[in-house]
Amino acid sequence: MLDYEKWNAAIIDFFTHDIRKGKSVYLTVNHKTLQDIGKSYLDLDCELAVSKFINAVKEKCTKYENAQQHVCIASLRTSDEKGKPLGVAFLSAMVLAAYQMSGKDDIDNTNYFKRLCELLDVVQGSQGRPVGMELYHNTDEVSLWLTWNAWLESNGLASTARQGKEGPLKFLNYTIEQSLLRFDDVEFLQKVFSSHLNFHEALRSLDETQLRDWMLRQHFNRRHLRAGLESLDADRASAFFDEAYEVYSIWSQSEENDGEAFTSRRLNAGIQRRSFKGIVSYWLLPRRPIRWKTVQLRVRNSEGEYKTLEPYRDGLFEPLWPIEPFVDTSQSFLVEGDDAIRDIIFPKRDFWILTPDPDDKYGLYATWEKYPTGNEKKYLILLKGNTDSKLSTQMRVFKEWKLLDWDGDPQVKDGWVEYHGCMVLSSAWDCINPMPEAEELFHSLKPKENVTASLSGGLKAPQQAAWLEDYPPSLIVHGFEKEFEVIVRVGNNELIKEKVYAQNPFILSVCKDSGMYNIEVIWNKKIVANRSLKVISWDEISANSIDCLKWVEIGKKKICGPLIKYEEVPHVSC
Amino acid sequence: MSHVKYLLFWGSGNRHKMRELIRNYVRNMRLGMEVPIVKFEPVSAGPYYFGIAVNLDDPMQTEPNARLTAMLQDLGIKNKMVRNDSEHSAFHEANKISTLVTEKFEYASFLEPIRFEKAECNIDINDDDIFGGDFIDDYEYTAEEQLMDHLLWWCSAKGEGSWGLFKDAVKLLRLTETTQGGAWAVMRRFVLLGDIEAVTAGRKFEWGVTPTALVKSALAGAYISGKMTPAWRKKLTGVSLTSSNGGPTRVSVNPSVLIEGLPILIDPAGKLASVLPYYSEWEVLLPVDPDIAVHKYSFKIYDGQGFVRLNDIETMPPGLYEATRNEGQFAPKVVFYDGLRWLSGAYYDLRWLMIRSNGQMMNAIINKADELFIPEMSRWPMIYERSLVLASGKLPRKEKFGDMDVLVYESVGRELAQKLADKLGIDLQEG
Repeated sequence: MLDYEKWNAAIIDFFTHDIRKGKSVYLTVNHKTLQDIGKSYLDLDCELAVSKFINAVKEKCTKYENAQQHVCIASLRTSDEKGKPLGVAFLSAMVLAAYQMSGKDDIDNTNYFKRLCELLDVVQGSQGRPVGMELYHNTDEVSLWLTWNAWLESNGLASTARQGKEGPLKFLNYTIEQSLLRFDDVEFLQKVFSSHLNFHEALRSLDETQLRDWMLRQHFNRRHLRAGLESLDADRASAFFDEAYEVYSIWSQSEENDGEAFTSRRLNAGIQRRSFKGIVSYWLLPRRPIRWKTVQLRVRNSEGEYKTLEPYRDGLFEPLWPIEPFVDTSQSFLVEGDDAIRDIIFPKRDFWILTPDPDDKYGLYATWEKYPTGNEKKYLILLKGNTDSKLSTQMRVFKEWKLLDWDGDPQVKDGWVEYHGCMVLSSAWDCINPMPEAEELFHSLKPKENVTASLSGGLKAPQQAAWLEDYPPSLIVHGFEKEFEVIVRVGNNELIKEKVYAQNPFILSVCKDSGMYNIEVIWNKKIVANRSLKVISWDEISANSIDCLKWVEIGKKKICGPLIKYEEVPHVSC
Repeated sequence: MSHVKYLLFWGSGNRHKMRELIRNYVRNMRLGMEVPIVKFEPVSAGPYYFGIAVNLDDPMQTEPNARLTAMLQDLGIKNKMVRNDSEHSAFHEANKISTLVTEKFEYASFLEPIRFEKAECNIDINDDDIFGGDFIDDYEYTAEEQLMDHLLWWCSAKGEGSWGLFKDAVKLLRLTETTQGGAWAVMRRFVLLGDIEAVTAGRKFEWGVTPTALVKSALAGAYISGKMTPAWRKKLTGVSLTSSNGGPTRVSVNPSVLIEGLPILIDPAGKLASVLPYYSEWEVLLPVDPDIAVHKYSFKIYDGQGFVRLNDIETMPPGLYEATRNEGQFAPKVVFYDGLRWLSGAYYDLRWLMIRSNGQMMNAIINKADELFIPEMSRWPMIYERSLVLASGKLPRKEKFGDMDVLVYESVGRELAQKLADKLGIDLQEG
């Protein structure tokens, strides 16, 4: 196989492997991702990966003709033998050029193509575009993006490359929106982390949620970075936070190793709450690394015993063992099985925000989401200490000022307090100044959106971020106004335009048939929330690939449906 | 994500008047989402700072838009604005404004509060009511097998879940409208067919779909049990779809066919019958309900026809009871009192135990077509009944013999029937 095809297949696998159906995929190609792909898929030395990639693209996608080097991508409009679109490695090179642009300002059309021409060693032609890649001559990259989008969607994933508004960036928008953090954003963040987070060990072991809340408080004065981190599109903002967390992980480990290069990553862990006969316990819930290539991993607990890390829900491993939710210093549990993963870190925190199971409202509370947002669901707040602690005192202030409320009395346990059914009631959090010890709690609870549109009820297709035909969900708008307008569209076709009242379920009966719907919540002629709804047919439902065997004990035997366990559980799956 | 920044002003005169002026303007112009809050420095007299919060579309915006500019002009405060010179912007970040208007400031919010939604239930609540509706599952329906298929497919995609989630799915699919009984009546059909296993974890009830397997029965050919999706079913060749008498469609397979990657289970009905205990041992395995206490509950006793109120709680005879908690809103539950302990379990299990403990003789008939006939009134405990159902991959059909309702299980055979009858102390007759 030619190098280009190898890179193409590896890039597609890297960005789509271990991604839950329905999730957005960004082709965030940069030096680090190319090094990771080179190492994990192509057995390449990290130092050589970027240049090898560029050479492979140049060799396949450029040619010398009429005394000049120019782009030639006509052969990329097809698929490889596995049906994967062939143009993705070329698009990756385009994203790489965008990554190398400055993130401080908006990308300029001419400058971008100058950069791309330098990268590919080709000549600039009309409209500043590389010769051979002119618009409207069926030689441009747009059809490659559309093929990539179609392939993602046919595999149940959400595409993100979109045409821009009318203007010089209309077509370039497909490419530049894929590059999340740019080269100088990464440098900027490294500097910010060094200057603000380097003076305490705890600040070098923040988890994803903590880092997000910290970054949002910094009000970075960089247009591209801030627009990404504070994007109205929660998926896009999450992708930015993920990228920033990668930068943070590398920075924190290099600080720890006296500037030595990053070699292996650390996995963060949260907690899952369980209740058995009135006794509440918390279990260590490790997060899977993003773009994780499945390998058998095992982890050692503090007693030296090993446990296998089994994939669990979206982005998580199975809970491992009971753990005290609050520790004096962050704990590390060694991981074996993959050189790229060093350990699991359980952070030192003074509070946890646990959300209900996104797939089962009667299920367990846990740190299911990396970046919990929104006012649409009630959650559980777990505080260190007792009801006299400063955090508990601050909670009472939140309640007194009608910023937050909860169900019943706080439940005091041994060393911690649980507040059940917490719900944000007001956006006026600026009306108080929190006490210093509660500043992190304050910023975590302060609503990040004025309006959220959530989908509830109906019959959800498990694991697929979709609903089943004939059983659509209801839309519930949570916002700090009484009335909103809702428009439901399929493509550009407007299905309904209705007035809805805050917190009142609005049954989306127009969304009974399978298809992709877009729902806009409008207030005062402005879109204040936007979300998509996918409805699939019964034929598209897919079985859960994880065995969830429940065994019933009958004396010394155990049975599960027609299976009988005499000694060992027979491992069978469909 | 909202981007709130502040416009800072230098005010003088009565600040309460200024606050009302701004409030009225924001309300009248419906600007609440754009201008959510105003904060005042609470000085006793003289000039003061005040900050107007602005929800920006673009966090890098440096100047007020036309609507805001018009508001400042209409309020007469445009020329009192304190610009953020260090950032060449009209706006100040929220954390900076907090220090300018001092620690204790006054504020007015212009947004509507969100209504607190009371919890539907305690997150640690028990699943005590799962067997509700069990005793009206009489198999007399013309089952909507397509809906049962849908439910099995959905469960297969979910893999496992809570009792509440299953109940919601049953309700959404309107299965309780087409079949009699509650959600448990639907669940028990899946459990009997071996498609789903149901367990209690503490006082919570959980279910999980069993792995897809090819079941080869002794007398009824082969069929597929467990996890199933329509796409996977469509891929199968050489299968026929038949009725399971009220469960999901029976996927019958030619016993000589091998399906790649699919485990084969040979005669699980017979194997299960071999490992099941004698009824006296089974009774010991039934869980004791620790919650039942005479002063906490009201009781009705089963008299052979239905539950009748029991007034004398001092001398409670052994028997089958319906117990209703005196406080709170809980569904009644059926329990068996053996004179010492309150045993919980599925209704039919406890009813069978009542008949057994009364010393009544129970019988069953096996005919030459390998069908087993059991009086509905003495329906066997579910774990034993599962063995009968697995023998054919079909639920029993119901027939009437005179006034008596009888359950008929297909393809059971003399050997299996005798094995189970011996364990339950049943008089098995040939007919």
